[in-house]
Amino acid sequence: MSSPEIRNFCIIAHIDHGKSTLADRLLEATKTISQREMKDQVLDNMDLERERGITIKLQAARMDYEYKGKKYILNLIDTPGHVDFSYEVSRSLAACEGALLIVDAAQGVEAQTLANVYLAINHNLEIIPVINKIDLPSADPDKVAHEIEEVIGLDASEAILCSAKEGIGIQEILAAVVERIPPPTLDVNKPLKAMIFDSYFDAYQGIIPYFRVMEGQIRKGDKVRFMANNKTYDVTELGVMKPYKTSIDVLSAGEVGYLAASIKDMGYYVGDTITNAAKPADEPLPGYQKAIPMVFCGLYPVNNEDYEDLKESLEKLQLNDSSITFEPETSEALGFGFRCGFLGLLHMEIIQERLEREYNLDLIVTAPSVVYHVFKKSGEMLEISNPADLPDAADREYIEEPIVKVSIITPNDFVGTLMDLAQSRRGTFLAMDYLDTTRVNLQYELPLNEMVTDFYDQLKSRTKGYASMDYQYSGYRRSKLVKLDILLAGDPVDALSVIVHEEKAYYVGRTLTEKLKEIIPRQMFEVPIQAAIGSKVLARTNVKAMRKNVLEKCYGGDISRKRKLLEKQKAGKKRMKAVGKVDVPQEAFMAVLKLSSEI
Amino acid sequence: MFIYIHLPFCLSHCIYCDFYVELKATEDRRQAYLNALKQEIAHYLGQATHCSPIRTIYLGGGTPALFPAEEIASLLSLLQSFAPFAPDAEITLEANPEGMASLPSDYRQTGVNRLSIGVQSLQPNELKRLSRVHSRDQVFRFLDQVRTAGFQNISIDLMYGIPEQTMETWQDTLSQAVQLPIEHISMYGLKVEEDTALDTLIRQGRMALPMDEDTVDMYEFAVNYLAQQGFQLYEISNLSKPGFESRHNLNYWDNNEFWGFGVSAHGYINQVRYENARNLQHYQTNPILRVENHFCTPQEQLENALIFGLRKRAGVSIVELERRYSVDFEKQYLPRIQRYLDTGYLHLEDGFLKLDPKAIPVSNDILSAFMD
Repeated sequence: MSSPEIRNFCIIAHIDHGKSTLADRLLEATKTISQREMKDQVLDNMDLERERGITIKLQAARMDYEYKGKKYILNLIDTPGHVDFSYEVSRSLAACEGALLIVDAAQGVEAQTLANVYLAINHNLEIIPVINKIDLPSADPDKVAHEIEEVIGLDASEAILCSAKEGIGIQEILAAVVERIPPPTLDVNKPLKAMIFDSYFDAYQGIIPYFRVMEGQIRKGDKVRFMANNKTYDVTELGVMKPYKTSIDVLSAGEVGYLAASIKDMGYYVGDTITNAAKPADEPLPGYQKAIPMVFCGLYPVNNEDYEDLKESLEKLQLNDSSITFEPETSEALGFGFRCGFLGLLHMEIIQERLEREYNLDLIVTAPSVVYHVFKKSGEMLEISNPADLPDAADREYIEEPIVKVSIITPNDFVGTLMDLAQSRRGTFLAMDYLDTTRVNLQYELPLNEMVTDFYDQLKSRTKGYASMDYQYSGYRRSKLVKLDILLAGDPVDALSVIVHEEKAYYVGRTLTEKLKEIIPRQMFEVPIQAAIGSKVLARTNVKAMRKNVLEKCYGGDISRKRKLLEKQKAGKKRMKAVGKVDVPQEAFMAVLKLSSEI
Repeated sequence: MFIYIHLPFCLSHCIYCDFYVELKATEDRRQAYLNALKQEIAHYLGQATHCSPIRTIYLGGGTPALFPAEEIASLLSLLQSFAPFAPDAEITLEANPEGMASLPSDYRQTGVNRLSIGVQSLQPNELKRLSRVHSRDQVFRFLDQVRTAGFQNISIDLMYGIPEQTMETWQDTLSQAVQLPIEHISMYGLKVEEDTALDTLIRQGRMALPMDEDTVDMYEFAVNYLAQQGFQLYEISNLSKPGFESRHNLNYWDNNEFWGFGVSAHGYINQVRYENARNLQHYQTNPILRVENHFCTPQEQLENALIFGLRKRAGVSIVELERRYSVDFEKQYLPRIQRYLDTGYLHLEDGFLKLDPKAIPVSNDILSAFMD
């Protein structure tokens, strides 16, 4: 009997359109996993992912499937569904020959779907449209099929109607994967070329890369070389995910698996090419990029003693997610901490949450920033991601800031409010296309620093959650930016400085000081809060002095009450950072994110 | 020895009070309680290997004056059978202006030489709001009576921060209070304890407390005004004419040991802070049972000495602190209190650490800095 044929495919979907549920159903239908073992959404195995209902780290699953008397191996490569992770998406697409395009039968095509489907088309993937959630009362599969044809330009006549939740259409999908997605080319005799599309860190086995063998073969015991990182390793274990790790001796061209080789070196592996050290390929596979962090923030322990713990935790996290960068940084206000880089805002939030939850750290997070190009009068160019590092205005020739192209898909009712939003964020209108009679694709150019505050939250709240968006980096542009300093009790607090556009400085200064007034509790003395550019004060307010704690009676020697009260007081203070003589709560450092409703 | 005895009966329940109180002080109930109390005292003092002379006794409650003088006398003589009274022993009885079970002179004869009287306010409407059962006139009459009966050391409780109290009514209360025959004033900010009737009324919006700012002004006004009238602040909440400081209370602030007897009483003996059963029935079933026994580590003892010692205007003697608790004060505490020293909230002078008067209203903030 001939060896089973292989199909490698992934699922492209917008958040909430049912990708994870469908993946679960496929695992069940192919008996890769029994219903008993089935937790909801097996592939998302971080708690955080399950809670937020999104996939952050992609993984792979191998399914055995028999169709018309013939055996097949179906490799499902899970992809992250968020704009922050588009490089990872591109690598997992490169590992596939086909993709299921899931579109919600009630919601229709969304911005993220569009972005990823174009990526898939660029990778020459066979795309199978699947219209999901047809069981919903508001489902309109015909309209959605029409939209797929109109907007994306795919033939939707053979779109599969499905309800992953109800188990409808699952067999049709499996059949289509076999029939419509081409098998990989099986060049087993060429030198090994395997592409890493993901990796994670295992405490015992080191870094475990997931890869797709593009050419040649890899065996347990082989000496392999990672071409971009230029390191060699002995393969101690080779295996496939079913979806749990299952050992295997050899993986050939077309197959998907993982390896363990005691890899302890830090580095960014996704996109790298694995080859055989003894019989190497001439050239690596194309497309490897180092992850480029776009959004930066300062992370500081609330208690200075936790600095080493934070450092260790970041190192551990970096093993799992090598796209994080961090460098030690010192703040006059916050002490020792790190300036950390992330792929995007969501990525940043996820990492913060993981640090606080999994590593039990109390953190102060400064407002997110982007990388500015600062051109000095001396001709030198500095890359600045921390507002506190911005050179004096007198030394600067000009500043450039990163710009993104944003694409928003929204019901047309909300076009007005979204245009207001984009205008207020210094957006430049590019285009507006009607997808159908009710839905619009709006395109703007926007400075990234306007995006990283709360643009996405605003977009969602202004459109009752109906709009979706995607953005792409589109270069640097010269801009009139200034550094706005915040002074507490007369002293500038470096961690509260923000870089803003000159024209918005006054409004940001005024609303930020008001916001801080709400956040900073009364102290034993009056605390003036000022916003200033250089020595020019733009706004000023005061936190009045606290007048009173409690002067209670101590009855019959019951001092435990008093102690409890003081312990409570102390615990309250622990959540705050002493900046000079002012106790500042953690959220104050993120206050700049909460200004938008007022601006 | 310093002894606190809790006598839990009251005529009625005040809306702000969350201390352990029983109504209906009938003879049977008093006797049952006294029996338990005597059993407890005999058990513990009988066990103690050495009893130093009794320096203070504080009969608190509740309303201890609901016990007739002969019952109080029987308690005192039981104590005396275990340890002699020091010649200058301070024996305090708490009472309320609405009256006592026996004549004041009868109490005076038992050896009680100090009274602490729950006046709280001299404004009829404020007394009503606090659900106190006495009137302003009763206060004047009662104090005359007890003075005539021979009490030369009388303290009253006054309260500020009462719902709808104003600076004017507070000033009026103070100016009347200084006319009373008294040596000592305990002055407390009303604190809304959880699950009291007052707590409910406030949450329902049926009563409103004065603003924090105003209560601080009330406190500061009182401290200055009473000083002019001869009452010196010697502890955050206590003022007295010279020589009339409450030695029983100072003993708490000096972090010294004391016995506590009776239902829900607290004590501190052999480095253990203990608490008795919290309800009458439990207490009387087993009067020697302690529901809480907390051994104070050297660190806690040190913290308590600082937290409670700083309540005294005299402050904390650094030399004594270092000797008693084997601590290097500068090394352990100076870094964390430097900001308070710099801003003048704390003073370190002549070997004493003291709170500045302006720091008193916010003392919790400062005191918590001494806790690990």
